[in-house]
Amino acid sequence: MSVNPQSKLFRDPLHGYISIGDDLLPIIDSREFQRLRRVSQLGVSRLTYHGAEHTRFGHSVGVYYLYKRLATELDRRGAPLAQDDLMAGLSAALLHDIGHGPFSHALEGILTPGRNHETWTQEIVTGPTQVNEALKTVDEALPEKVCNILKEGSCSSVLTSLISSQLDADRMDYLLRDSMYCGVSYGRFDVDRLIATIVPHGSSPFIAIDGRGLMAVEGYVLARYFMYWQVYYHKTTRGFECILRELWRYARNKYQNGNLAEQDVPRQIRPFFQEAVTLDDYLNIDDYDIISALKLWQASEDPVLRDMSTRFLRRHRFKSIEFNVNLHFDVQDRIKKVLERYNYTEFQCYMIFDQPSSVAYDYYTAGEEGEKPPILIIDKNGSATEVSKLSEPIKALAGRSKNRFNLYVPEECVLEVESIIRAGR
Amino acid sequence: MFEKYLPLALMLQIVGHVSGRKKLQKIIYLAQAKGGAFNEKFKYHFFGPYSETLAAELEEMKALDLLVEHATVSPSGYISYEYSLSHDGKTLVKESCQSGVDAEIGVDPEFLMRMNSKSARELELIAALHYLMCAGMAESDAVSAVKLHKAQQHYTDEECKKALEELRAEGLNPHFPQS
Repeated sequence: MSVNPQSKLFRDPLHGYISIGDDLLPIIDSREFQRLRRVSQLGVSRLTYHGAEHTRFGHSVGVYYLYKRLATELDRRGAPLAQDDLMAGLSAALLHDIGHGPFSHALEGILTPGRNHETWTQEIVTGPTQVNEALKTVDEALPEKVCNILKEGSCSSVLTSLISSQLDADRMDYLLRDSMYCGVSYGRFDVDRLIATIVPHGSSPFIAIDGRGLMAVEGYVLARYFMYWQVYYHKTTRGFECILRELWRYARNKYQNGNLAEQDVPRQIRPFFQEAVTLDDYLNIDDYDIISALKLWQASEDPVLRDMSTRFLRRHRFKSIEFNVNLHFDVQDRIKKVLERYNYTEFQCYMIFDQPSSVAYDYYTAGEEGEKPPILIIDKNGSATEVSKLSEPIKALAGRSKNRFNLYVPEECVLEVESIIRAGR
Repeated sequence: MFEKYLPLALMLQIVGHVSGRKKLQKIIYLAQAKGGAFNEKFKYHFFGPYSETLAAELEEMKALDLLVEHATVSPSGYISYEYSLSHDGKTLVKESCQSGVDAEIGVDPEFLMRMNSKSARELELIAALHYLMCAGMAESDAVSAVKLHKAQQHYTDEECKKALEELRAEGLNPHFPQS
């Protein structure tokens, strides 16, 4: 199967050579796609794993590569995609993260409330952008086709499942890529075996795994689990994400209340604080702008802005206290009194509660019967079974959610706060 | 600190108890569509709109003793779950209101009670049709898609018609927006 005989080779640290056809190169050369070189894949994880400096650019090319491999395997299994569909799918794979903002998920929901990265992706693909022009050069209807594949409402096609399901190219790439760049082995799984045992399935989720690939699935599910708890929900990373989020909120509120001068807000940031963000404003901002703002605020007259910016830039982290009980209001009040004694009166910034549901990544859990999307294993008779019913390790791991909550406070407060929490049980 | 869980806690306080996670998912989805203060992201899959974030939040509320999960095993071995607010969950609601936290759920309690009175099967159909129509499908196409991809549910024409009427009556049919 080939899309176009003319192509360019991209040398990817994870997948090796990736060939991309000339017809899709204008997407990569577009202003919007090149911006992804300045949007980190893992946000602030580099403050925990210093190698985690990879970007959305590499990940997007990687997803394209795996999508193509999956489509090739389906073709081999007698379920080929039509040429037009394949082009739409590959374009969608390249563009699935085009709408990510600076620091990726760390500032999601905060940067542009009410408009997440998927919304921006739709706007970039359909709006007056170089990406849109590049797609239309191939096919006038291609932007709409790509949007339909990426839209959250899209449900009924293998094209979408290959990008967004329990066994999709996106997850496969980021698990392997994040694992490699972080320098951990948790995210490694046998991707070749997994792809080789993909089989088409007549109804949603449209792809399943041949029974002979069960162990590869086990490795994949374990990879998701370990990467979640060791990387994506790492307490140091989450602590800095919390700092960044609360700092942004604090600065924005100060600006909106007239307590932060125009010259103290970089020009690219102002539309976000004014909550009047155009597509152009969004495309103008990347990781470097956020860091520039923090550097400016490091010298702010406002002590909270100064302190929080410095903490982030110099890696002065909050300490985390893990707990798993409800903290009653009186316990919270006592914690606030401790913080007050240390002159930390902006409780929103200095007493931050974090929980697993706030993390964008997830790991596989089986759920109640009929509740959630399953990973299906197909036996030699063609029957489909949810994987945890066939695999003891997955059953043990995916049977129930594990919960761990963290409260972040400044280091000098941690002992007193910890004893309040323990006594409050 | 736990304001995140307040909308869910308020919902459970209003309806009393919900039978099954699938049903809970659909109620929250429809409440969100109706303008309720729920921010979870839903994706569509085989069984209709589903939110991984909501599922995680429910587990967290259980772990924090804000929610009670009561499991019942039927003679055939099928496990069903019932959810209600715990004592701590009720306290969270009460203390949040007293401390001035915005405790508005943003949707008519009667709407929540009506949705809760329906079976999981009905709600799955209503939620699926709503999601598909909001994604741009015409009514007939949404019905066809549901019947095709949920063939094992054997939804009848009558059930689909009733579900569409329900959506229209609740002002949730995007093809017939309420004035």
